[in-house]
Amino acid sequence: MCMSYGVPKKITSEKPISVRDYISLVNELLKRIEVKVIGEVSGLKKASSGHLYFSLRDEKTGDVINCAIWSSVYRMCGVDLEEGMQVIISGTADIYRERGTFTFKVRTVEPVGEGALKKAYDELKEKLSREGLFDEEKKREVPEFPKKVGLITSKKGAAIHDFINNLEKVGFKVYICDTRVEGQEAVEDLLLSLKRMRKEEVDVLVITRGGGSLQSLLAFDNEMLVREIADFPVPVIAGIGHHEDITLSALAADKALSTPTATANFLTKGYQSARENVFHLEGSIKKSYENVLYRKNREFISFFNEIAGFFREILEEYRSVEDLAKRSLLYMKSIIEESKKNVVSLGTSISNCYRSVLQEKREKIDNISQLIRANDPKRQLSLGYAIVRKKGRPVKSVREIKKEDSMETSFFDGEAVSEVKEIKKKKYG
Amino acid sequence: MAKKENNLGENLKKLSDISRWFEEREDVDVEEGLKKVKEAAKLIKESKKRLQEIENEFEEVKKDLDEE
Repeated sequence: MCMSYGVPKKITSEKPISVRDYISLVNELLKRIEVKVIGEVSGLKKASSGHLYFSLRDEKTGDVINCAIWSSVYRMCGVDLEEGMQVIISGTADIYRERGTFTFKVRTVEPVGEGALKKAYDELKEKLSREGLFDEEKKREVPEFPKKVGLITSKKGAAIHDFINNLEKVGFKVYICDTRVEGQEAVEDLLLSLKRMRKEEVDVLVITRGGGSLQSLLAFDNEMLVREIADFPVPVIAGIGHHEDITLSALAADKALSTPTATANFLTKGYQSARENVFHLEGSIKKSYENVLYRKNREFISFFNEIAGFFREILEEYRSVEDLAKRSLLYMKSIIEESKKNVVSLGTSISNCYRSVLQEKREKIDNISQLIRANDPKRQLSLGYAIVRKKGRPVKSVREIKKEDSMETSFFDGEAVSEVKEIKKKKYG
Repeated sequence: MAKKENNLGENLKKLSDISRWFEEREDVDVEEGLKKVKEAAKLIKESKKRLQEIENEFEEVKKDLDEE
């Protein structure tokens, strides 16, 4: 069956053209034909340059086309071509000028059939697992508060809208790289996007797309892409839906989520949690300090009451001492007053006593004076008495004198010396 | 930019430390507690500022095909 793919119906030329021009014309037309071709690999040859050459044979008719796959494309395809393998190839054809041969230049290769795809998936998974690309300990922590986000997705799909709409507004700076995400053809685009994103200093890289069939997710099981993801300098989140098995890209990513919405939520969860934490911690610290103040206030009141009690006791004691002092002072005052009175009284008494003694002494002196006066020899002499002395000593008895003794007689108004002529003694004397 | 993000994480850690500091002590000195509360208030203010609603920015970057 012949199918039309929009190729110009007819190109005519009256004038002959050169072989070169003809090949150029044909190649120009062939370049516009980008199709997928299904067939069986045969005559597989690998050149020393690494390029592969094979024929793709129509299983039913046996028709063949010559195919070439460059080494860089082959590496990117991540499919190990084998003789007899059913594949779908995509690319464009041209005529090789030197030989005039028709060659289909392969850009992508994918195995045909679920079984083949599954086999390829399992083998690659096993290989990369052995290398440790999916090891849990190799997974990096996605920053809790990412700011700059690299986003690799298709601008045409719903995924980008789901992602953007669910990204909380906390000032994210999102660098978007528009990429094909469908089928094997997306590999090249995804690899270029990853390379481009390495230039942006993002905190985290997100690769996302909606879910799809095994066929449509094929690119995400590509070995080169998986290795690029594992080797990316910052954590990678794969928000890629999956069919039966999780894609190898998701296994290699640091975090795998099933949808763009889940990816956006994951990125903002740190901020939501931080908001709750700030609210909670603010309340907790405030309450703690209020409790401290409440406790301290109670302690202060208790302390104040204690101090007040202490001072009250001191005051009471002071008052009691003051009372005692007052009483003592009053008592002392009374004693002093009394002493004063006593002193005055004593003074009067002493004075009186002294006066009395003085009077008594004066009277005694008077008496003595009177007595002396009464007994004054001169007074006696004036009364006619005389004092007789012998050799200066008074003569009281006639026994003290003898006859012819010289006697001095004192009179009131003079003395006389005499001589004893006769002594007459009294009988009773 | 990274520094700001760290600040939010660090601020939360410091706030948690302050909260724990209060919880772990039976007797808190009022002055010392006040210092912590002042520090917490500053951290909360900074954190809230960082968490307030700000429109996200989107910039499309083009793949450089020549690099292939």
